[in-house]
Amino acid sequence: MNRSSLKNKATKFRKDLKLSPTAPVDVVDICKLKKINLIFKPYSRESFSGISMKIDEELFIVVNSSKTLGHQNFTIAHEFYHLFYEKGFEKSICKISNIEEENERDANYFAINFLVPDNAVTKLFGDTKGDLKVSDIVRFESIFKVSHKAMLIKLENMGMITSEYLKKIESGVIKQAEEMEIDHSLYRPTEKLQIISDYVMLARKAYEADKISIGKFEELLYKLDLAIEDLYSDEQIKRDMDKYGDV
Amino acid sequence: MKGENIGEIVARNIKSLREREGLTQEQLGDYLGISKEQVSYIENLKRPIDVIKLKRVADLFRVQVDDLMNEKTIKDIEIAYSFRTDNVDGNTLKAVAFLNEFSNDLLRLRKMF
Repeated sequence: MNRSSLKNKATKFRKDLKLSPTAPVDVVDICKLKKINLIFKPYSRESFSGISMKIDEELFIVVNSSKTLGHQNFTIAHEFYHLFYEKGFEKSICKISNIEEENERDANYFAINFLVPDNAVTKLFGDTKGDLKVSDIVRFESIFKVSHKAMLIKLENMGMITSEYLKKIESGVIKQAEEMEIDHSLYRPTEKLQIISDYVMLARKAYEADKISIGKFEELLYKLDLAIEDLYSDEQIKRDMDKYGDV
Repeated sequence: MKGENIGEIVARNIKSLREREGLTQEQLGDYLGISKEQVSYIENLKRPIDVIKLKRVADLFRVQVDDLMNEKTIKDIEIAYSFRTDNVDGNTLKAVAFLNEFSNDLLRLRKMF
């Protein structure tokens, strides 16, 4: 797909979500809004970026949380392209993404233009063509929550920095953020396990309505590293134990 | 096929699913925590597969363990995968299997209400 068509899709996606055309976006909130089951799980830094799946009209994204937070945010925006715009994604499908791969260009181009639209860049930097200060770039990344690499590619695409300058400033970003006293969590892996879905609520509802046994309920929670104790207060557990005995 | 025992059926099904989805013996081995030679032994009936690994193979291809033991070769799997990318390692396949299990459970729960 050509670049202007991808850029138009990114703009339209913002518009459809009733988002400002230039403000930073929260990709996790968008997943909640679009009812996407979002799973953050640590695998390894060298492994995949994300996985998107569509089955029975249900949407899923898995994000490898061993990648940096900036990479994770970018991955979610990248998966939006697969889920909502990629041809062939109409039926049951599971797609693995390594955003560094050449064949992922379209989804990457959509993602960066969705996260950081051209207008947002010109609004902040004006029409300055030339080598922007690293500190300004780092500050901009911290506002838009994207990785240093993605931001540099965006600025290079827009002719705001040269490829020579990009190479010069692509490393050492954590040190730069530290010096500026900016939160550098964006450049670090989170390694978190987090599930954003109504899975737990449904499992609890099924258990409370006697549609599944306590053993099945425990099994469903265990898969997410959760225990029944995590969902109920001590008083509730004590009440149940008094009622049913220690099972 | 007449006269086949369950071991032969399982071996044939694993090999056929792996090849159909474009996975190498090395990739499947990385996922199962065994060498590619051991995957080859399993597929060529030189060594049986244990129940835990059999369940993991089923999770990866979104089929039931029973399907793997069924005489009829599995023709249709429920979902189209894109395993034909570079860098599909054991961790990637672990994530796919996790997602398969998670999504199956979620869909089953949803159907209850």
